[in-house]
Amino acid sequence: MKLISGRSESKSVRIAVLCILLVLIITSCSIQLISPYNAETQQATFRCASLVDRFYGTLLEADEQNRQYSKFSDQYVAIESELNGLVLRNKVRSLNQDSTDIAERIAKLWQKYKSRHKNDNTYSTGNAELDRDRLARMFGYAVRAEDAKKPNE
Amino acid sequence: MAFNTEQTEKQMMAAMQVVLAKEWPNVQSSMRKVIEEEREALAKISLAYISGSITEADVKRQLEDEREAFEAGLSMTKVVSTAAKQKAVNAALDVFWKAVSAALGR
Repeated sequence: MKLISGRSESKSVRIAVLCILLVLIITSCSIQLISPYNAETQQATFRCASLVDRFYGTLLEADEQNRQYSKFSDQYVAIESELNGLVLRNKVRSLNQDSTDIAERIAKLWQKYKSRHKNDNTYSTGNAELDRDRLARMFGYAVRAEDAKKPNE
Repeated sequence: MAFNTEQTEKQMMAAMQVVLAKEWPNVQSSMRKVIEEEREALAKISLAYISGSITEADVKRQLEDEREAFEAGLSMTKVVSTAAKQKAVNAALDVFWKAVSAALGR
């Protein structure tokens, strides 16, 4: 009789443990439609935005006649490398297609501006101001997109 | 404790509505911001051309680049909108799992 009671007790304990495990599993379930927020990517975006802004600040300080490509080529290469890193950082994350798209468009425009500066060997103030504004706006979109992924934003 | 399907469904809908009511203005303001910023950018290009800061060829190129910026803005609004949907669905799921937990007697 004691043996039967002990078996029954043990079965009840196992069922209770299974129920608790089941609840623990299901309570941790949530749907993921978008990549989780990534603070490192956000920091990398801010760093790239700052580098690009400083580049244009330096360029616009110089007279148009003193804006030969060779004077800025090192900065172009350094920033291009940072931007390619930002694209890769976004690309390797799953469910992150739209943020990757923003980073790719920024990198694409940067390469375009670099090529044009190299070909023309100058960069007019009018174009530089418009390009600077545009890139700043696009970095803003990248930051805002990453911010939206915060759990309780 | 029994699982009340009807009540759970109502609570799930209510949870989704609360989250969407909070998140939807963000989606709308993101879209509005992209459009406003695009309008301002186009105005700046026009002004730069009128003032002689850029040439006609530059205007064409600037407009091509604006397309890239606008597309980037649309991608940003897609992220904001998807994140809002995710939060709403997960709020509803949270209600569901809590109801299941209660029915299991936890």
